[in-house]
Amino acid sequence: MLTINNLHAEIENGVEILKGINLRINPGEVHAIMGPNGAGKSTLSSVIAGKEDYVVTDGEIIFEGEDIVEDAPEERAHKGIFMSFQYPVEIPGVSVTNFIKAAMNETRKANGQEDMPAKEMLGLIRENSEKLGIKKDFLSRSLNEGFSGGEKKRNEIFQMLMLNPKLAILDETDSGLDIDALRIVADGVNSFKNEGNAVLLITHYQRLLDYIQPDFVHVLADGKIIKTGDKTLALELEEKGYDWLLN
Amino acid sequence: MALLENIQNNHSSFLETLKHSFLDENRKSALKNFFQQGFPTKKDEEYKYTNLREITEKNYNFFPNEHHTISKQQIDELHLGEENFDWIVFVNGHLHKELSKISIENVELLSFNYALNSPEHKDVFEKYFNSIANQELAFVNLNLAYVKTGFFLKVPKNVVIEKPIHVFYLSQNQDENTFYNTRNLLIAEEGSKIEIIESHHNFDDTFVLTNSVTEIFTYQNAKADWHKLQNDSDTSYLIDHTFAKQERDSLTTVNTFSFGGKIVRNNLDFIHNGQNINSFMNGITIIGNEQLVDHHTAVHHNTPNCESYQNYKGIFKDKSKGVFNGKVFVDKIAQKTNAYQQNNNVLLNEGATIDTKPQLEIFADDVKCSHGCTVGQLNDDALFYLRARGISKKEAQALLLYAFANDAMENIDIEPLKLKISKLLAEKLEVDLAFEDIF
Repeated sequence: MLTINNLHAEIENGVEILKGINLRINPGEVHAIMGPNGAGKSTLSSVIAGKEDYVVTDGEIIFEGEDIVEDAPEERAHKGIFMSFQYPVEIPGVSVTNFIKAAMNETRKANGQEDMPAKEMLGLIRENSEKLGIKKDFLSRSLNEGFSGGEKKRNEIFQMLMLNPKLAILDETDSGLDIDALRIVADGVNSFKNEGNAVLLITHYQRLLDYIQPDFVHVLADGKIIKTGDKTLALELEEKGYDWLLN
Repeated sequence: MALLENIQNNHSSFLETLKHSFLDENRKSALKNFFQQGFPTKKDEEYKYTNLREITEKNYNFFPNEHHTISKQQIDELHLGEENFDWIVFVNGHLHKELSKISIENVELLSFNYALNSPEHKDVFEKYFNSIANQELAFVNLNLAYVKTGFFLKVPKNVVIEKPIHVFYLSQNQDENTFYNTRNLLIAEEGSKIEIIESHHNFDDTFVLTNSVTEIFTYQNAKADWHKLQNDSDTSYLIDHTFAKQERDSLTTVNTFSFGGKIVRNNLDFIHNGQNINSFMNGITIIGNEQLVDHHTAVHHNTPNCESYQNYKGIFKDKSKGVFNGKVFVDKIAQKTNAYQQNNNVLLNEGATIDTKPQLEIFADDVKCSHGCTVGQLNDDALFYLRARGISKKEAQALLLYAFANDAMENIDIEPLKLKISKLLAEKLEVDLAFEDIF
C-alpha cells in the first residue's frame, strides 16, 4: 500500500530532518514508529500527509502504486491517506458535524461520487460517535475550540472513522490521554482496522501498543529507521530506553 | 473642470429645479461653508490614508437622466427575496413606487422629493433635519446644498415594525459620470422598533459618486438597526456620513458590510444623550483589486452607564487598501461607561495594506474601555489541517476567513440578510461553498 524509498526531507531553512527513510506497509498491517524526541517522527507523518513546510529533496513515497510526493495535502486525503494531528487546530464557528460533512463530501466529490445523503450521513455520525462515547452536544460545538486534550484526540479518531481512509497515520494520538480515554481511542482504532487498510502509529511510549497490537515496530533516530522488529521490540525499548540502540 | 467647479457652477440651476424654496437659504449658506472648508486632502488628519483626488478630479453630471429601463425582475434579483420584506426603490434620484413594495402601516414615510415640496412637513425639517449632522464637515454641507433624494421615516411611539425595509438607490442609463446627494432621516419614537437595509447600485460603466448623509434618532426604549450592504460596482464612489443620536434605554446598531465600490468612505458618529444606552457597530470588509474601504467611527459617551461595541473585520486581497479609525470619547461625567472596540485584519496578498488606528479619549475614571487591532495572515497550520481532511486550499482558505469574519455577523437577526452576506463572502472569496450549511 505504502512504500517509502530513500526519503530525504528538510525544513525550509535547509536543515535536513529525514535522512533516507525506507518503509513498506502492506494492507492489513499495523506499524508503529517509535523514537526519541527530535528523531523526525512527526516530520515523517507530516511529509506523508503533504505538509508544505517540508521539502522532499530525494526519494519517493509510493501510495497504491503512484508517487504522491508532488500531490497537494487534499489530493492525498482524497486518495485515502488520513493523519490524526498531535495538535488539532481550533476553528471557531464551524461545528464538528458540519466540518466532517464538508470534509466527506469534498472527498466524495474528488472521487466522482455524489454527496452522501443526509440520512446516511447522520446514521454514520451516530454510529461512530457512539463507538467513541462522544455525546451529541459535542458534535454541535465549534471544531476543537475549548476542547480538552482528550476531546481533541477523540475527535480526530471520530473523523478517521467517518472518512474511513486506506492508511491512517496517528501522530502521538496517545499523548494527553488518561487511561480510560486511551482505551476508548484504541477501541476505535481496532474497530477501524481490517484486511484492506493499514495503520501507522507514531508514538513515544509503549503504552498505546498494549491496546493496539502492532505487526512491526520501527525505531526512528536522527532521521533514519535504525531498527525494525515485532511488538517485543517495543517492550524492550520500554525497558532499556533508546540509548542501547544509538550507541 | 473638475468636481469643485461643477459644484460651484450647478447650484443656481439646481435651485431652479426645485418647486419650493424653504431650504434655499440653508442650502446657500451650506454651499458657502463647503467652499470655505473644501474637500479634505491627505494633509487632513482624518483623510491621511484616503486620497480623494481620484474622485474630485472627475467631472460629474448633477442632473441625472430620469429615464431608466430597470425592470421589476431586476429588483427581484437585488432584494433579499423575502416576500414579507418591504423595499423602497429610488432610480436616478427619484422614488419609483411601481418598483417598490411598501406595505408598512402606522408610520410616516415620505420621500424627500415630496416632503420638500409640501409645506405641511416643514416641521420635520425644523425639528430633526440636519440637527445632528456635523456642520463642520465639508461633505455634510455639500449634501445639504444639493440634497433632493432620500426618505424620511418616523416610527411612532410603541409601533414595532417586524419586517425590515430595504432601501435601494439605483443609477442607470447615465452616459456621463453622475453625482447624487442622498439623505436618510429615521426617527424611532419611544418604544418603537425598526430595521433598515440600505444599498446603492450603479448599473452603468460611467462613474457614480454618492454623497450620503443619514440621521438616526432613537428615543427611549426604542430599537433601530441599520444595515449597510455595500456591494456596488467598480465604477462607484460612496462617501457616507451617518449620525445616530440615542436617548436613554435605547439600542442602535449600524452594520456595514463592504464588498464592492471603488472607493468607500464610511463615517459613523454615535451621540449618547441619556443613561443605559447600547450602541453596536459591526463591519465586514472584503475587497480586492485596487478597491479602498475606509471606516471612521466615533462614539461620544456623554452620559453615565452606557455601552458601545465595535467589531470590524477586514480581509484584503490584491492591491486593495483598508483604513480603520475608531474614536471613543468618554466625557468626565460618563462614569461606568463600557466601551469595546476591535479591528482585526487579514492581508491575503503582499500588495494589500491596512492602516488601523484606535483612538480613545477618556476623561472619566470609573470606566471599562478596551480596544485592539490585529493585522495578520492566515494560519498555515490551520490551513494544513483542513487540507489534510480533503478540503481544497481555496476552500480551506475561504472557510478560515469565513470563521474569522463570522462573529461580526452575530447580532444580525435577519436570517435572509445573513444568508446574503454569506453568499457575497463566498463570491468574493471565489468559492462554491454554501457557508450557511457549514456554520
